Amino acid sequence: MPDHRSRPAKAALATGVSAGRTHLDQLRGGKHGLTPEQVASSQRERVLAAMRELVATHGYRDVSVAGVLRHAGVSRKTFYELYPGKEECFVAVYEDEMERLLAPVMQAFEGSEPWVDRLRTALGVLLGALAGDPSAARICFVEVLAAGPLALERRAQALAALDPLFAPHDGADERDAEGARTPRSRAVTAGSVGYLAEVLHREIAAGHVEDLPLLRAQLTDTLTLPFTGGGRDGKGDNASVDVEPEMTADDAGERAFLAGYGEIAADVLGTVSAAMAVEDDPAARIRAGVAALLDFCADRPDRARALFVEALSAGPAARERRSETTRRLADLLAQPLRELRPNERIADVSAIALVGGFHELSYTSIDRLEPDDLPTVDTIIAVARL
Amino acid sequence: MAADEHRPEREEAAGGAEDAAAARPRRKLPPRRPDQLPRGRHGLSDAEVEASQRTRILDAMKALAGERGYHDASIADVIKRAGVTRKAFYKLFEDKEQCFIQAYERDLARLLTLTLEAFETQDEWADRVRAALSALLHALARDPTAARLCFIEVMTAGPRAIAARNEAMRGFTIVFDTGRLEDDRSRPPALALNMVGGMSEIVHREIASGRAEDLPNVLPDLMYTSVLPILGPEAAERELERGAPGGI
Repeated sequence: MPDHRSRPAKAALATGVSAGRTHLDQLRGGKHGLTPEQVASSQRERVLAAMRELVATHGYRDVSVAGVLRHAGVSRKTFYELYPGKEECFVAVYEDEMERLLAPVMQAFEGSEPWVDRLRTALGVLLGALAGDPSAARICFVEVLAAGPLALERRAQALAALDPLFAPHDGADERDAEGARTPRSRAVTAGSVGYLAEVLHREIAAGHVEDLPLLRAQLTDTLTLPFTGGGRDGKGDNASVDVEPEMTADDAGERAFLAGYGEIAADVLGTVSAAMAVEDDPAARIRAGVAALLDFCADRPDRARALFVEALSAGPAARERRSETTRRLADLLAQPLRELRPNERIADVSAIALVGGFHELSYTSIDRLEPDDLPTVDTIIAVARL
Repeated sequence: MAADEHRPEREEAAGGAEDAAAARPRRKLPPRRPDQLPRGRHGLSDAEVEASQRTRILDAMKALAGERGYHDASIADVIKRAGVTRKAFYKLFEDKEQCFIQAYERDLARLLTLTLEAFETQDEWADRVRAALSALLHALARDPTAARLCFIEVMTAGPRAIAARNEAMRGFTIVFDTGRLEDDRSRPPALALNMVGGMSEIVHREIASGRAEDLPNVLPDLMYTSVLPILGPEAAERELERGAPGGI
């Protein structure tokens, strides 16, 4: 433990009271007629605000208690009266932020609509809130992982507040006769929360916080999978869950279309990434990915048509899903391209160009269900000059 | 024909109702658009009136589809904005999609023309591509509505619009086909179309992300992507280092 807690009170008073006031919200020195509780509360708020701002700007590791004191305009003694140390102070910020972020999410989840719709709404609120407050996003999904064992413990507790989103049995859906959670359902809930937190962590850490709202459709797809079709063997567990894909799309055609879309998208992305995974050399991985994509279009022409052609005409939600699928295809190809290109941005651009070229050359044959007219792998990867 | 030209009902745009209104001055008339033809006698031929109406309808379709999206642009809104009657609309266009396609083709033809004109101003192939792409990106940045129309909304306006788009984009392959003549002959002939598809996707994403006005910033990316398959990685990186003149 650092020894500054035993510093003479005089030194602390000197920094805290007679030093010039640097903050408008700092209390006036001398007599002010405030109760000790009021003073403590104002100091606490300033300390938390300072910790929040500094962590969001510099990262937890590079924030010092001294920096927080300076920023908050409180003495070291005051700080240590409030918190035993830096980690505890950060944890207080984290818990405040999580509570603030999650309250509207859980509120949006209430209601009597089908579970899938309420989940989608709740995810929309969460993603929107994070995109609108990058500091909170960073603190809650990135920095908390770097702050130590206490922070990790509190993180697990705070994330558990999201459990009801993925527990349609004993959440809003009380129709289950037993009422009790099965081990499978507990595992699915934990896995879903973990998946969500991991995706948010990666996106925010990679600087994509403002694009988070674009992930809503994809996250909803993936997170409903265990309850819709992913767990066929455990069907008995979930038979009562009302997740008949009654999506929110306005028109019945789009609704019907979207019901099957997620599975087809998962199919193509899974096929491509599995083919890429068996290769080591970056050029071979790209070739394998493009070959798998073309094979998918040749072997499953109806699915390819739904994915790349029909989605364009099926309504705005379907188009958003389609964009998401092509973006994820490009993301898959961008990984090996990063080893071949001068920088990451150019790797991403090259991947987008590959997917765009594939689309341009394949659209007509996919549309007409004429797989014989699909371009060859060489034709498509010619633009990448591997 | 000649005798008809002096009849006051000449402009279909004003329509029967408005002509009747013109005969009764006490009824308050809607304000005229500056490009709308004068009410009453104007001595214009049928063809001139139709051309003016067509232009106004295509302008209105472009503005509405570009601003709020193809699906939220109704024929009612288009004719209101253009200052023409529904009858005049259907005399010129079969339906909304056909009207949209014509608005698309008009803007795309303009963009293609200025791209190819810029292409002709240089000698070296890479310089020609740079001039062409730079002209295109600047034109799109100056007219974000056209950018939305030609790269986003056209994909949402139905199968006929997509077919028109696929056809129109072939016009841009000229830019990349020239390079093929200067290089070996083993490259697949589809390469130029492949490259157009790639560029189009890059531009599409920028516009879809609301960055139409910053499009000239992606010139280095497009140059790298263009030059890489034709002249190789060293030349491509040189293009990347040249940056975006007038951009960033």
